[in-house]
Amino acid sequence: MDSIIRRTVSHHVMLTYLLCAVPLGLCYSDQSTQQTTPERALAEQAAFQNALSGISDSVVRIEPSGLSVATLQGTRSTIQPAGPSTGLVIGADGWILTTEFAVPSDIDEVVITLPPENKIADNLAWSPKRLVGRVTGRDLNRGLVLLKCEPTEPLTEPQFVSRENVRPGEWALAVGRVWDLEEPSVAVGIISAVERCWGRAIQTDAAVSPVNYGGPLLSIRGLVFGIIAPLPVETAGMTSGTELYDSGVGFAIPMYDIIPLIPRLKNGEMLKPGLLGIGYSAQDPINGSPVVETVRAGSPAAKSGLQSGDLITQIDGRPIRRIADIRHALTPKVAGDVLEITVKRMEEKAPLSIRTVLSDKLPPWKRSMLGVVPVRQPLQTNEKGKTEGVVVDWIWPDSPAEKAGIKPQDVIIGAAIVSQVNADDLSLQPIASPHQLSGLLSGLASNTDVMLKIRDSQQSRKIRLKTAPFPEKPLNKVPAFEPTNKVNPPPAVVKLEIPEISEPSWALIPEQQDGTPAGVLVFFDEPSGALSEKSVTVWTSGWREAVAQYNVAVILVPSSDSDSWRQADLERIGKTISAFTQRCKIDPTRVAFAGSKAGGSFAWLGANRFDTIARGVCLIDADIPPRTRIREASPDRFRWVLFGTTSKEKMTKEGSQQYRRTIKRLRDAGVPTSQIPLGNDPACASKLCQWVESLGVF
Amino acid sequence: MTSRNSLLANVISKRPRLLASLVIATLVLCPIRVVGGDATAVSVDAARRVVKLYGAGGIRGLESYQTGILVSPSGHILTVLSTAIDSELIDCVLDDGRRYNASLLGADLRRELALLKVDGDDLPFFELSAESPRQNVGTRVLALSNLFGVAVGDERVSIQQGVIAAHVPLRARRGPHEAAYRGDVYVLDCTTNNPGSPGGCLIDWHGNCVGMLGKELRSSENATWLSYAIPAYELALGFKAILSGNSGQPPTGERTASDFNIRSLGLELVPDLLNLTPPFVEATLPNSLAAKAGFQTDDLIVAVGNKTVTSQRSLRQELSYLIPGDSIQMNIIRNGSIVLMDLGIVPSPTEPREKR
Repeated sequence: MDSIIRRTVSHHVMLTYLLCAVPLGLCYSDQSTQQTTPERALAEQAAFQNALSGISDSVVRIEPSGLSVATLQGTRSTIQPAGPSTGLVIGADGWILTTEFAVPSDIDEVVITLPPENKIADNLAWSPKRLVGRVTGRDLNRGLVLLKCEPTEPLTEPQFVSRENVRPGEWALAVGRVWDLEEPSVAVGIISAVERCWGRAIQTDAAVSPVNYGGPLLSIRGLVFGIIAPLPVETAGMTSGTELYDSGVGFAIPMYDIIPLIPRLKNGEMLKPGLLGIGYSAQDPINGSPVVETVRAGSPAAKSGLQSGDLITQIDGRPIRRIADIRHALTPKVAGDVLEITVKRMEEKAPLSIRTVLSDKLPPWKRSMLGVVPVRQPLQTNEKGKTEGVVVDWIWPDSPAEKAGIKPQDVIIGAAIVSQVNADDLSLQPIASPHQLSGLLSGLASNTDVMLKIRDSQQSRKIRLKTAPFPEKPLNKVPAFEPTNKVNPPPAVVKLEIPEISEPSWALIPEQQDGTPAGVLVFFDEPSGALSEKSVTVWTSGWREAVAQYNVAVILVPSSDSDSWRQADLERIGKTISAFTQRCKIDPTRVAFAGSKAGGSFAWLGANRFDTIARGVCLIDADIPPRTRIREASPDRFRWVLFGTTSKEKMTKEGSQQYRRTIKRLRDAGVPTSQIPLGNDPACASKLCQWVESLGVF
Repeated sequence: MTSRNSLLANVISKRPRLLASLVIATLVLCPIRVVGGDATAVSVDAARRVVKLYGAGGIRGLESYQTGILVSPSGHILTVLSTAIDSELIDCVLDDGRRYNASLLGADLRRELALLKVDGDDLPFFELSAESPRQNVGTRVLALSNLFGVAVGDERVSIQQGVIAAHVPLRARRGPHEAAYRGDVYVLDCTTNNPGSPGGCLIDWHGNCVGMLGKELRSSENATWLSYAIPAYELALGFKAILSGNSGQPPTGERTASDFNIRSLGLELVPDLLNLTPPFVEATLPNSLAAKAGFQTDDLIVAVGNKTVTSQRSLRQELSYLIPGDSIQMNIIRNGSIVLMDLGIVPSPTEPREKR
């Protein structure tokens, strides 16, 4: 292997000289030299053709057998092989790599056609060498499939390019065996980028499409950079990478990443994306500081002793400076991979080295709580020293916090998970904001010992308490906002105009003069199209008192159509909320969506679309839309779901069974859910506003 | 100039790394340099022999303009047959801005080519030859065409660069209609299936005309858009055919379907109940070709000759092309392995046929 690499390097240097000399010569040539034959172009052409004939024996055709085609018909798999595809020999004894595009997950047997020795006429009298290929392993993180066949003679293995020799700007040849069985096809371009798709792929501008998925991306010397594959990219509206064909963007999975995985694929493993189980304190998922905030109970991160507050400085020897670096390091990993994480932990001077094994599944997560409701604060970055501690506003009745004697106006200034520390003062993590404290606690399972450091008017003390399961039922009564010393003006109805939306949204805003951020309830009524100011005033009259009492703003979003809520209306939710935040400070922990009847189902869809914004959903006289997938609860998208029933609607027996089924499904997914009677309209407003206020509990 | 070159030589010897980045910068900044040399040198001369054509159309998504190639000094222009040139008045604009009225001399329906004529003499042209060589896969090419009609007046046609990706028979469709031409084409790795490109000239880096850009088509194999060119040797044959007044017939499929079928071989398959029923063998008829070849119950037929079949329907279709006297091989899967079945020579239709 060493010698191959050295040869690559020396050739590369030569090639660089060659490439330098010719274009510079041409750049500075005058008119008379323009008539000369373009030798360089022809020399490169010869190199392309050499590379192609060198790889030809290793590039096979992959086709489904009649049986697998029939299997796919039955399952209606989302990806259908639209005909032949390509594969690359990687082991002389019959190991062939291809992509899921050729071998979707429902099939495990394909027909492999080996390259024929001579180009022959189109006829039925001659059969090229065909073999049955069986799936031995899949890399679901990259969409690769390893096949095994039993050749009678050894197959031809190609040579691979080492990591350091895959560089943007190098020639790249995309080879396939779909057009023609006898002769591989080629498309020529350059390497556009490396480490794409969060570190999983090489990008090329060579024409990549179903004609060469599964084929090799070659260097001009005929060595393999990687396997051409349709990787999905994170661009709106794309479900699979196949939509990128003909766009100048193509991907190949680098061989240097595949080779270490081959033994596991040969062993029959299904490699899945590797999960760690951490959340970050920073809001910016790209440039944010890589400080761990949430460690999910039972996850690899928790098992290996990673703690909230740890600053990740290295993963597998690569320096980590931003959250994006962690994603780059983590995304290429599969479950079972070992990760070496170096962290800086609070006052400890020496960096800690943590070894963890990634898993394909995190244990089910259910939120726990202590029962502390903090004084509202706008969202702020977790920079230490900006604010100190979390001021307790009120305590959830019968919660661990109440039993431990925590009182309103106490200040929580430090916290730690007891299993991880020796109850030693130094190990308590200083707490700067409610956001930080809730992040620290949110990954914990219930019944976990937590140590809090609390300062009241006289002294500071340490309290040990256990987390409890998060309540499913909202409280009957939460403390109302105390009026500030000045008299607050009554809530105001405000029109929220958004340039590209013809039906404006309306908001009822509590005017708190001391700048306390408001909770937000985004409401979707039955569809009626644009709302007039008069109708909004009538509608909001029942809400004014509750809005002022609990400092919760209500945003009323109209439908574009007067008869139904539409998929396209989802987009206006995000725009409405951002227009609203221009007018009014909001508390991001207290944002909920609610809706009545058709609007209730739409509220559910909206909460799914904006799952990091909506912390609660209330469906009034409505069920979740049929056939919606319920996602497992996770600390980064906590959701509390209520099914409200008003006295206007008489619940049928069948209907209430349906509710019970939905509630069970949600609870099974770890989502706190309950059904509440809402009575008539005014009481409904008060109950919902109190519920929004209570969403801030942790 | 000399001092500049020696300075460069100096830099080359001392700073390879700097130069490597310089080269990359050059490659990025000058698109033509990317392709490795001066494309102008080889394309200017060729562009003189390429014309912009403007005719009918412009409705229902059909373009009213395309490209043509001068193939004689007296003004014969070869282009693809399309609605754009189905017109009384065809405007033809040369590289130097000279404008001619062209008339339609004839068409080759088999190759979907049209021959136009303008009144000129001593015009630059490409000499077409039926002996012009078949270009290898990986050959670098330049495509010259009236791409999107962006070249106006005396502006030169647009140049695109790429390689020949494959050399295969055309299997393509446009909308519901299959392409008439079934001969070999060069599939290109650059996107030339654009308005105005049809009839464009494909040259190699020696400046030879190696083909003509085809229409906007989708591959029937995998439904991707297809950029292709009709090889020069086919153009020569088409040119000759039109001149000799032989318009050719639109092909009705080169291999006419015979009434040969699965049972003629003595094979009985499992009942064809699904849309795509796998071609599993149920039984063989005694003394038939299939019985002699050794077919057994539960064999799964996967290929006939060099054609893979994935359903009973595709098997029937392949077999329908057989002509008595052809020999035939099949691949089957039996016990998890592929077995080659040699059925020998296809019997003549006079031989006794099994009863249905």
